[in-house]
Amino acid sequence: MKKIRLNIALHRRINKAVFIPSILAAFIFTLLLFYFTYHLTSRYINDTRKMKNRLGSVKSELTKLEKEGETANIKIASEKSLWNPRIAYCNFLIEKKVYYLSERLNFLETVLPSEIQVASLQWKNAQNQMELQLIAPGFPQVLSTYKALAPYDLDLISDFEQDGRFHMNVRLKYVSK
Amino acid sequence: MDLIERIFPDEYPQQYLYISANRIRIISAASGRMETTDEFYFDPKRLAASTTELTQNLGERLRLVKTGLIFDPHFFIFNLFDFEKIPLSPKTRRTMIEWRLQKVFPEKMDQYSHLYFRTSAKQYFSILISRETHQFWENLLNSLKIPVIFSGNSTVEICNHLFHKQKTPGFFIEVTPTALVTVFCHRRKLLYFRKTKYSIVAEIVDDVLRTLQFINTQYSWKPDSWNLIDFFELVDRKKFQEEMIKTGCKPAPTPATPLFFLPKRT
Repeated sequence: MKKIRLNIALHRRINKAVFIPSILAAFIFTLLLFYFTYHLTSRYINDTRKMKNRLGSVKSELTKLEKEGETANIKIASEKSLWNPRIAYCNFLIEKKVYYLSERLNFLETVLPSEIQVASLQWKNAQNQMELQLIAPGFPQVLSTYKALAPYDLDLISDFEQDGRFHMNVRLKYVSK
Repeated sequence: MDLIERIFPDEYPQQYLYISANRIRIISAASGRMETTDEFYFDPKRLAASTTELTQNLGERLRLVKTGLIFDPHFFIFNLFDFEKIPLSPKTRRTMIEWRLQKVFPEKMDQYSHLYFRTSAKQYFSILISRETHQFWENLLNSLKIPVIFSGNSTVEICNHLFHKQKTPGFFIEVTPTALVTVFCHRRKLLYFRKTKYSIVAEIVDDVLRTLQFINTQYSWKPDSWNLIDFFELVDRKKFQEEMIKTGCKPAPTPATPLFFLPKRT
């Protein structure tokens, strides 16, 4: 059964010995609650303010970096316009200096008659020349070889016959297509 | 204990006046120790006409300290109301309880203080007391410059003492010079409340046994223990106990004459 609190006295009095400590405890609890609420709220406000300030400085830094980037881009563009022709010229020179082996072998394959054997091959890149030792099965093939190589500054170093085969040492200029 | 009571508890009086229909007992409650210090009779019929003698008697016996008045059930009208559903609104609740009260007590309510208390989930305990009665006693003590800070009822305090705990007796019998109250409590819920007037003490045992029989048939429940609160020692306790044991009801293990009718000190 629930307790019944019956007191019909006209002048009831609160038990101060219990009431005052209870009220004091409630007051202290409220104060503590208020203090913690205030502390947490002010901390939150401060943190938010700090974050906002930091965000502002980060934003200004970002704007500054963007401006710097723009300046750098302009500088890069001007440098590019200055250096690009030079680079293009350098590339041209590099391209001119390099050669493709397959291209040169293709050149030989197309130029030389089919019966001719290549015994040795030596490149002379500085002069854009090549030295070849060729072997032909007969004299007509020797003639057709000289004829085929004639347009390429053919320089006949030596030729001789050995064991029925004709050996030729020639020098010629490579012409790229 | 309610939170309100915990925060705003009433101050404990330093002396009590147990007021029955024709007798007053003075109980000292200084420093928490209760003891009966004095007792005297008065004529209730002459009370309204002249209070001089009573005032003089009280003035001689009472200390000028904060005092509590405990009225015996003679002055009260009790009712137990069970509801299927209790409305949430206090106004509707009051209307509902007053409507139930009007059915059993069709008198004008102006002269009475009506208080009601929730005793369990679906039950209200209604208490009526004549305003004139308690105001008369309070004014009388105030005229002697004795502050009255408590004014309650013995039966309610006994209920608080006996039924507001885990292990409760099945019922208690409160015997006062003019009234006999039997209150039954089953599974922590007030089951039945009976207040009767009696003229000879012999009627008490018969009445209790009849009530017990009624409870047995009506609620199919037989209480196993009881308490007899007989402050004025009107009943032969030994004989009463023998009669009750015959019915299979044993006395609850409590002191012989505890001052259960005084507010419980917490």
